Amino acid sequence: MLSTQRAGDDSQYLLVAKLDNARSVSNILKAIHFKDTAIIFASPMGIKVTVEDAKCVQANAFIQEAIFHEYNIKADQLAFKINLTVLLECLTIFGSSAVPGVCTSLKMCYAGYGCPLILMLEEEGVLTDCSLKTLEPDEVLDFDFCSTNVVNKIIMKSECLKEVFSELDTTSDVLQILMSPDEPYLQFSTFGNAGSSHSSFPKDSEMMESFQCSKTQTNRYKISLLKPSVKALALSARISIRTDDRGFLSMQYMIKLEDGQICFVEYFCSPDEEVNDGED
Amino acid sequence: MKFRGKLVHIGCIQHFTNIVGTISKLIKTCIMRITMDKVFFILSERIGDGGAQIWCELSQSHFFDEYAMEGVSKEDNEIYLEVHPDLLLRSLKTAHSAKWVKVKLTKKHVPCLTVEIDLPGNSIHQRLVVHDVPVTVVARKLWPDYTEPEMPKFDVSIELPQLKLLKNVVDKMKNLSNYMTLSANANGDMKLSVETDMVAISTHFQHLPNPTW
Repeated sequence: MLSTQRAGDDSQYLLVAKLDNARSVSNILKAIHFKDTAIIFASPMGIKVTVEDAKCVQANAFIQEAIFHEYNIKADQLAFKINLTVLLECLTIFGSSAVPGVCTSLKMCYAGYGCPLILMLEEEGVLTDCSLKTLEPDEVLDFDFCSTNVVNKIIMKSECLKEVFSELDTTSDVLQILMSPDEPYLQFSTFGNAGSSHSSFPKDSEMMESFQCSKTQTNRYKISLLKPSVKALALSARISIRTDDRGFLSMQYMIKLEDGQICFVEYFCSPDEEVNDGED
Repeated sequence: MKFRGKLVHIGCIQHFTNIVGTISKLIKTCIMRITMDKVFFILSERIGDGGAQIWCELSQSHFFDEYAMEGVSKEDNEIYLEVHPDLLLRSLKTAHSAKWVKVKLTKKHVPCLTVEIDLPGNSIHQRLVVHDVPVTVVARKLWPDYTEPEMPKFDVSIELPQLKLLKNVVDKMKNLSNYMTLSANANGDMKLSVETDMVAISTHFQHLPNPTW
C-alpha cells in the first residue's frame, strides 16, 4: 500500500514541512498527550495541535513555521483529526530518548482532505516512512478567552510551580487557584482525604516576572483535567496564568527546544461548576 | 563426571551473565553441554514441524581462567545437563561486582551446579555466597537429540543492522501491531513493516552485508 516515498514529487501535497530534529515536535506533542486523538490545524503561520477532554479542558501546541527549516502550504487552513498516540510512536520510531550527537530528520506531507498524513524520518542512513489515516476533524471548543476580559495575569518562572503541580493531592477533586492584588497574592489549594494543602507565592518573589491582578478571584478546577498540564510545565521555562471574568483559566507555557528556539503550549480550563462563588 | 570453572575478570563474569540472561528470556529450560573446549546452551523444541532452536556456542577460554572437566567416559568426554537458565541467572546476578565466580558440578541430594561467589567486603573477611542450582544429568542415549542444527537452505542471508536501532524500531512497532513483515534481499536491503487500519510504517535499512557461507 505504501510505496517508498522519496524526494521528487512533492507537488501533490498541500503541506510539506521539514525539520532537522523530529524530537522538537515529539517533545511538544508529549506535553499535550492526554487523549488518544488530536486535531491538527495547519496554516501559513504554522501547525497547531489541539487535544480536548470532557468539554472542559483544551490544550494547544503551537509549532510556528519558523521552527521548520522548510514549510510550504498551499492552503489558508488545513484541518484533520489524527490518532496522537500513533503519531507519537511514529515520531519516536528510532527511540524515545535522545542520543547525544544523533538527530532524526522529519518530513511531513499532507495531500488534502481524505488523504493520510505522511511522515518520513531518517536517522543515520535508516529511513522510516509512515502513512497515518486522517479523520474528519471534530469541532473544537472556543473558550472565547480574550485579553480584554482578563482579570488577573501572572507570569512566573516555571521552576517553583513544578513541585506544586507534581505533588498535587489527587485525592482532592479540585485544584483551587486564588489570585489577588492582596495577600496571599497567588495560592494553590487542594482539599484531599488527609486535609487541605496550600502553596502560596508572594508577588515580590523573584520567581514572579509580572504580576497584574486587579481583583481577588478564587476558582476551582477539576484536578483530573489539570493534572496532564504537568507535562507541559515540566518542559517549560516560564508560565503565564490568566483568569477571565468567568473564572476560565488559561495557562501558557514557554518551551525552549533543543536548538534554542521557542514554542508555546497553552491549556484552557473552565471552572468546576459544582462550586458556588463566595464559598471557601 | 567432573566440572569446575572459575571466572575472574569482571568483564568475563558480566558477559557470561548477559548471555545466560538472554537465554533465560527465550526459554525456561535448556541443555548445557560441557566439553573440553566449549560450553554450549542448546534448545531443540520438537513441536511438529516448527519450534525454536537455539545453539549457543561459547569458547571456554574466553570466559574461564581455570577450567577442568571430565566427561561421562573417556570416549564420550562431555557432560550434558538440563538447566533452568533463570535460576542460574539469579545466582550469577549477585556476582555483578564479584572478585571471582566458581561454577562446579556437585552432588547435594540432587545434582547441582554450585555457584560460589567471592564478594568484595572489608579487607579482613572474605564474603562468600554459595548458590546450589539443581540440574538434571542427561543420559548419553539422548545426546543425539542435541546435535548442531543444520543450516537450512536459504534464499537470503543478511547481517542485521546496529542492534540498538533495530530494537528501538521493533519496540515501537510492537506497540502498534502484533504482526510485522520482515523482508530482505541479496543487495543488502532489509525492510521491517507494520500495517494496521490506522497506520502503515516501514523502516528501510540499506547497505547491510550479505555474508557468504
